[in-house]
Amino acid sequence: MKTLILILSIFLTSFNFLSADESYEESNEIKIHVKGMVCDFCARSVEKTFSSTKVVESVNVDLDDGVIELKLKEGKTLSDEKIKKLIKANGYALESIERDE
Amino acid sequence: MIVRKIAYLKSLLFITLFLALFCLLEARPISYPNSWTFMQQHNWEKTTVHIHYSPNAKNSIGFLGAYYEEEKDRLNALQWNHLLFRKNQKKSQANLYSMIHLGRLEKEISQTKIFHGAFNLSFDWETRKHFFLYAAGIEHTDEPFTDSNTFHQKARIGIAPYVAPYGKLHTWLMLQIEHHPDDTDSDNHIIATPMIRFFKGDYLCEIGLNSNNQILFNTIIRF
Repeated sequence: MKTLILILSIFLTSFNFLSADESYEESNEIKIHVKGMVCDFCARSVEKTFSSTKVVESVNVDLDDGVIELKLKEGKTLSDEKIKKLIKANGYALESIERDE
Repeated sequence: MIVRKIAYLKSLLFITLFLALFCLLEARPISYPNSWTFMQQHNWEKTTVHIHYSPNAKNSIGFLGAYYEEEKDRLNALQWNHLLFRKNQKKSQANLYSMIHLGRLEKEISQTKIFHGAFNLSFDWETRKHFFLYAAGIEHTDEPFTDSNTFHQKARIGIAPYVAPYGKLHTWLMLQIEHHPDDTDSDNHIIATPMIRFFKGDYLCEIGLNSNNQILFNTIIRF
């Protein structure tokens, strides 16, 4: 019985982690904090890059705080790795990523 | 004949040195990836048109055309701009660029076409309120009997009187100091140019008047 409870607990815990991870990936509003985005030219570059991806519905740039806000299309995801790659390809540095839970 | 051959070999050496230098460096672009830039510059010395393509964020390559006002010479050249180094901070960005052009100069006075090349290094640092730039370069022209190498440098400081949000009109007040020690006219050895810069979206424009009362007018369009 104890073994059964243990297995059940492990299973449920794993399921919870998986669920959390999925909701993390599926959050459709993302705030990206970028280093080096100090002028309109810089921001325009990043905006164009994200706008051209198929998963992004809208891009909003806040130059004062160096933040790019993305709204993803329904049911679409964009991984941290992909975001980091796109920021780097534009010549800037990723500081952090915030996702709506 | 021998003089021309030596001049040709020197040109070849010049090109080889540039290429060798660039082979050692990491290759990358300037504007945003897969974009074109049109730049026009008019100052006391020349009027230039520069159209270049950036395949990625650390390199751009394009055509440079220049018309030298006083000599009435024309230059057609290929230009390569390269981002050597960038330091991204939360509120600032610093860059070191190299710019090289190699081309043919059509001399009005002698009706000849000769090799012309230039190598420039440019460092800038920018926040949303402050701007600083220092650039220095050498130019080489294959004159028929004497090779000409000239050095020039410039510094520019700028301040934004207000901080505009993204997409709105940005304004900068700037002062540029140029040093051309090899210029034949002593009035051009040191030139100060106060100017105003406007930019909005993909468009940039600079207007200034230098210490010799000559106009500076630059525009940049990205697409």
